[in-house]
Amino acid sequence: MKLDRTDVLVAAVTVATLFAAVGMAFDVWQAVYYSIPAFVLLFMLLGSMSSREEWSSAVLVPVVGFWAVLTALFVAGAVLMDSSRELGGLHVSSGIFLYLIWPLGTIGAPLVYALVHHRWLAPDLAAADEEARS
Amino acid sequence: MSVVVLGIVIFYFLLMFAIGYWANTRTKSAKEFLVAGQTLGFFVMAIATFSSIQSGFGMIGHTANTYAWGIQAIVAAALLVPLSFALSWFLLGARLYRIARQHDVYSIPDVIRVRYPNRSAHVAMSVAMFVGSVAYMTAQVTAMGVIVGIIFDTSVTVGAVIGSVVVAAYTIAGGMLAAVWTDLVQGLLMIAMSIATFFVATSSVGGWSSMLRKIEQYDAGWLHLDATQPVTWVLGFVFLAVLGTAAQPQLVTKFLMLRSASELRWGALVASVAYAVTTLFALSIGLAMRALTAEGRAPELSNIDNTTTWFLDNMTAPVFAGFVMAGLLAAIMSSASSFITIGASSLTRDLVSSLGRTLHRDLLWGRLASAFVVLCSLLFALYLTQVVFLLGAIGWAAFAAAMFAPIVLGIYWKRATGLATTVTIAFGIVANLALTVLTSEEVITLPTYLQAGGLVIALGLLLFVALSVAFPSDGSRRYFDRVYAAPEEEPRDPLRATTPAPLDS
Repeated sequence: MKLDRTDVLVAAVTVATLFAAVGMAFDVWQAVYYSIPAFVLLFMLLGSMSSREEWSSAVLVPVVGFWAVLTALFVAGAVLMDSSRELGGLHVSSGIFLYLIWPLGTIGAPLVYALVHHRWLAPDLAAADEEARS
Repeated sequence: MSVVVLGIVIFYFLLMFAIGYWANTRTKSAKEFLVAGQTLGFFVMAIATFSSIQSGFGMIGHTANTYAWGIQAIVAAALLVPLSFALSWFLLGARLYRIARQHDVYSIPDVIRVRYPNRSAHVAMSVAMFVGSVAYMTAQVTAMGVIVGIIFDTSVTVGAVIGSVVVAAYTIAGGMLAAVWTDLVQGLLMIAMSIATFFVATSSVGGWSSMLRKIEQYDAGWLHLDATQPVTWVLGFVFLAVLGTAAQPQLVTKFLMLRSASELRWGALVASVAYAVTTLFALSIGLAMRALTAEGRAPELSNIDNTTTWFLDNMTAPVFAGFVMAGLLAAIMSSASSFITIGASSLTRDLVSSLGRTLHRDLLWGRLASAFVVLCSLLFALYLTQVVFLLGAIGWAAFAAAMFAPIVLGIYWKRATGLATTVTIAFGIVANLALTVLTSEEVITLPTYLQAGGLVIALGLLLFVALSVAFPSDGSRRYFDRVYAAPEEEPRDPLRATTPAPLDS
């Protein structure tokens, strides 16, 4: 069976879902926790594919860059879960979520989408429209 | 409530009627009634999307949970939702735009119809949409009864009738066009109300830093991720929020309404920021109430659902409380109007065409079906509490389990099949219903760490992939190729003709 890029991404989503399901069913919080940044990367890659199932570096750089920062924050949040440190009046893990991950997700992720749409998806949509008309 | 408050709310109602009347003059066909004529720009679409997702539960329920559980409630249910809006734009934006431009696709069952050859998948999604819409509407009717009852100093029953009549009037008159433009007004009202509430609530306990210090002195656990609820449960809720957002019908349908591809670019940013701002409402009142309790200025509430109303009654001026009530009513009505139109579409367009029938005068039938959805919801909310209990199980998690894989994966993945879609939809609805009944009847007891909705979504996705791989379908592959094909290659419009013959059979 020949696998294309979408097959590979769907397989990866399935594996991440399996991890999350096992984590939820057997109380392994780390499995659920780390599945979240994995989903973020996989969904961004899936949504950034052109109609010909292609990416460009103009897409991959912002997507992977965003994911790297998000994952680093998730790792920090997990590592510091048992720490007694504070961040902005909150326990440090809660602080990382409220003061860093929340704004990053609210502003950063939509900006990455705007960039990907402008550089890659919009020209692809226009080309697909043109192809459909011709 | 004071005369000023009544004035604010009556003005708000009149504004909704005016938008309904304006939309009515522009609604000449099912396309206007169901997808606002595919004329929306990014700002209206994005605000309408966020406001239909941010329901009464999001405002009042999250406030109650934040008061009861501390900061982990907001982490669980709200902080990653803005990110999931961006993911929804990634996953759905370009693909659904192309499908909507190349086919007469006005609804989620329409997407299923053009993507999969199986009539059973189309029927299953149509039924799920109708049942789910009535379920969501029933919850909104109940919430409207409480809020309108407080504002007009009347019973919950009368409040539910008043609220339902108002939202039904403008939605039946103007369909989705009225729904999205009233959503715009309601969304902006929710944003203004949430910003104002944040400053009022935190000021009532000396500001943000002072509020956190008071809570920490009382019990630092309220500020931890693993405070009152097991951390696995909290993360299961995050999973539910992240995957579930992209599979809510009131969000997915909005992508079918855009006027051009360029409108996709900034929509995610507007929706994400708007949702994040309205999260300030639950965050500030929930934590402020915990600080007030720590100080002894507020009692420990036995019913956490009263958190918002206790704060408004005791810590704010009546005029401000009225302003907030109008904002809460807006949150409830913005969710309700979308579901009235989606429910009507599922009856008059989707279910009818899935059974191979044709409806003439579809606009008239759409309006009658809208009235039917409201009437069903009102009757269930007021007189059939057992039905309300069951319908309550068909909410966010059930939609997510039923729709995520068939829609989100299906528009990318050639191997996705109609059979897998039918089974996954049935599984999503039945599993959530069964878990609700069995746990409430104490037939089974779930571990406290288990977020059942999240697990059902995960199992639904795994089931979908497994069935698609185990039972491949050439028909589903051909439909995948055709869904992005030129318009002349597609079958005739199934609303005007019979449903295309399944290629699998």
